[in-house]
Amino acid sequence: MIKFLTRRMLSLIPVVFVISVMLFGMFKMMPGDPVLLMIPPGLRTEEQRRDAYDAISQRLGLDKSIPEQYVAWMGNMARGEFGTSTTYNRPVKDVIAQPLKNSIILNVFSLILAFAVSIPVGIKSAVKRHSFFDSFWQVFSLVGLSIPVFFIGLVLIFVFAINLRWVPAGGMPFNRGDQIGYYIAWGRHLILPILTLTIGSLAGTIRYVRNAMIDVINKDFIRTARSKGLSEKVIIYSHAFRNALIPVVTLVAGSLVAIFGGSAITETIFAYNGIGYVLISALNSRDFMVVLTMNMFYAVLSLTANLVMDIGYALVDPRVKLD
Amino acid sequence: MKRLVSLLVVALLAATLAACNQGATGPSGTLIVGTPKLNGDFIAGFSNSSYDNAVRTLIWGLGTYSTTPGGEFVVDETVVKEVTTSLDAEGNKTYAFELNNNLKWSDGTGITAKDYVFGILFAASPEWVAAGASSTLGDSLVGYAAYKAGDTKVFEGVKYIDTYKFSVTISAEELPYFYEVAYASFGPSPLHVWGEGIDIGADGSSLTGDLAAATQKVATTERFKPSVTSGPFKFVSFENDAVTLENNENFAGDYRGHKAKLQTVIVRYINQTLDVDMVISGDVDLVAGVIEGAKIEKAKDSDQADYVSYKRNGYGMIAFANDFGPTQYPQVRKAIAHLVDRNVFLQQILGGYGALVNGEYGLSQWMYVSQAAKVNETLVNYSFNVEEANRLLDESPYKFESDGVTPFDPAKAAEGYWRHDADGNRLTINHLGTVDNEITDLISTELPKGTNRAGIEFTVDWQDFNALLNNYYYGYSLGADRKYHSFNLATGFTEVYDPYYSLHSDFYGTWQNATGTRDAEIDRLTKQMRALDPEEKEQYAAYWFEYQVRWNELLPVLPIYSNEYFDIFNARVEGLETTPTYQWARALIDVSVKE
Repeated sequence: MIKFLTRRMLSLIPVVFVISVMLFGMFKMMPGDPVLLMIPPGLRTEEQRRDAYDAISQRLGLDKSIPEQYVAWMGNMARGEFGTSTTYNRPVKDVIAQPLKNSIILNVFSLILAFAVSIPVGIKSAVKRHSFFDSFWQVFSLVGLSIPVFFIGLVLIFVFAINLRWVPAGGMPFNRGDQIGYYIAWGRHLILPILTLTIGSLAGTIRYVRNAMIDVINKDFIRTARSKGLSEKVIIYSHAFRNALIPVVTLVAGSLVAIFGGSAITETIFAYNGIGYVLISALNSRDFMVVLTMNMFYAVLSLTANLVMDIGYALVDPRVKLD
Repeated sequence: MKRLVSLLVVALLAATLAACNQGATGPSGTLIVGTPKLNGDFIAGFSNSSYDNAVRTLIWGLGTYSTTPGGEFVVDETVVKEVTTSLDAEGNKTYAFELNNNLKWSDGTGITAKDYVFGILFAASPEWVAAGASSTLGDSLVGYAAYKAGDTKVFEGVKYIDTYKFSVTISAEELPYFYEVAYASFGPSPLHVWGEGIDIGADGSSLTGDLAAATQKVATTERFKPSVTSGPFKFVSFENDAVTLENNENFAGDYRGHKAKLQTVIVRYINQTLDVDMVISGDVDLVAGVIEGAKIEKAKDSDQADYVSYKRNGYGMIAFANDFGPTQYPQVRKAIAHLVDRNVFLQQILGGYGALVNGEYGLSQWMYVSQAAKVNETLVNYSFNVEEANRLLDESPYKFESDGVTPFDPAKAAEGYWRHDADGNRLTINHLGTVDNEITDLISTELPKGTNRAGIEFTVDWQDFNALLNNYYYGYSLGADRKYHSFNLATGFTEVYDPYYSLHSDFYGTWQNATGTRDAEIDRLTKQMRALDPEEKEQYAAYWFEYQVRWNELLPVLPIYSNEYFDIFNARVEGLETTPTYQWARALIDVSVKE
């Protein structure tokens, strides 16, 4: 196991290096000059503007050659310094810290809810194929897959926030000294975004779990288990579900990245201060350092998730050997 | 005994009533303002968000001059006890201010002349630039360039005189100037907080102590969370896209002596698509600058919402490259103006809530308001007129078919049959707009309907705003890579209306004169307008009118719509009166909410 982990982690180094060169190269090739957006309005002369441009370029290290900029960037990344956001004119880590935390909160809750609903529903749908229960969730899945997330979000807002006024239409709670009230407000603000994300992801997850279970239920060893007289509960949950977990592990590991990834559309609809919105804004405003940092983060996270997935396979499937 | 008890009860009741009455006159209530996302810079000099700027308006104040809702500069008599002016032999003009002695920071510390002098010396210092900030504060004062460059520690044009007196000296090179008082308008900065270990030097024009450390500290701490403020509100927090402000009980008042009536103001980010719905549902109390017709209608139909509207001092426009390609000819620019049906933009984009202008003015500017009839009669109204467009183009070099000899025949005009000049160059206009912009989309569908009928090949490219700015402001530097002849964007006018910097040929070939305009008449008029004394309003208006006529003839840009802005608020909000130059952040001082 340790040998496997060491080998896999060493093999990640050149992958990370290649990804970093590609990302840096791509962003440098993009048209547009972010420094121009940082120059404050009201400068009256060409000289003032040029001075401001030079000062900003120098401060951000953008006056150096591209290889020098790359080396400086990687060196800083290794030290945990991610550069300066050109949009916010402050360190990237300050810009992304709060939104990243907010996105993790939102995504963890919605993932837990999505799996909490979809795994039992998927199993029951597979076991009771073609029943009313199964048909209902099949139709629900199809509808859920067909409706875009922004539409689900807007419908929920108009019904529960604008018309019924049960929950806020969006935004973030503000702390006015009362900590309990603040946490209650947090909960109220999270309800609609969580519901939107859950409904959006539920459809796919239910179908995934259902199909995985159906595949396993039709296997010979399940028939053997039945012929041995084992109870249906033991067959489903001890034999079938454990085997069906293998594809589900892939799904869960993939969701690890999604937890940190933010959900730009949902966050925009609900004016939720999350990392998805920050990333889209950064792309639109050529905020290279924010985009580069986040993309590198996601690249490393994806590689790590793959590693976790391999370990997960070994844990749920004794046939998989890590060596 | 009974009588004594009765007397005590009556006295107690009277005291309670008096206390209640006192409470009723103090600040109360919370107002929530919905805005787009804030950057979180609450000291000027770092980023350009207009919403951060609105918060800055709420927390900083006590400048020597203020502006009225009508956009007029006035001495802030809450701040200034007396102002005197004097001219020296070189023509430099000194403004000497005596401050009132009752001004306080939000923490109760007294505000003195040192805070005003410190504010200028701090913001104009090279150390402030090194800390990552940009500022032009004091750039019209004597000795600015040398101080800013770090050549000297003494800023000649600023002088601390005594606890409540200081002066600033405007350089003769900047005078006369119609908006001269803008050069003498300065607010205080908290020396006791920002300038730990710093003091005003004995000469009254320099700072002692470690300014580099002070600027760094302000740039990394106070910038995000100002601990003391001078405006109507105190800063409390900025968390998760929401700014919380509390009433500043030490604020002496605005230029009229008015203090804020609200106890708490929260400025929070909301989804702009839902802004009016959120006002109606009570999630927020105020959203400003709404222009979409459907939203305005919704607010008008609701008994939970009210509004105040004003005409924008600015417009959306098609800006031409006056120094490049076919658009360097006024006939081509004016022909394009006759090939755009601007009413389509008014209806489709603004739902009818807007107006058309034919010059470089906003409908609320006093220069326009005072002579509106004359302006409307005199300026050419560029309405949709294909015949007139063809007539104008026949006066331009583009009057031939592709052989450069055969005259172009408007009767045959259709897509593919284009005008050419004598050298066989096709009349092609390459337009650049931004992505996700309904104006660009409408231009791409509407303009070819007209231009195809006049032999103009009109192409549209979509890029992000940054790329558009590069092409628009720096087109002159692109050389062979230069491609675009027109751009769609918007502009607005502040209280200081000075087209000298944007259209005078002194700035030809620089980003400031982005359209590349070079015209002797425009040069004369822009200089004459600014060179008047502030009292010469009538003469200013006369020059302004001449300038508009010439501008209308040259048409360096084509205004395509001028919005009407709607500030929409919940029915519980009272007292909001906004104008184009006195927007919600200024007007909030007179606002209260029904609990």
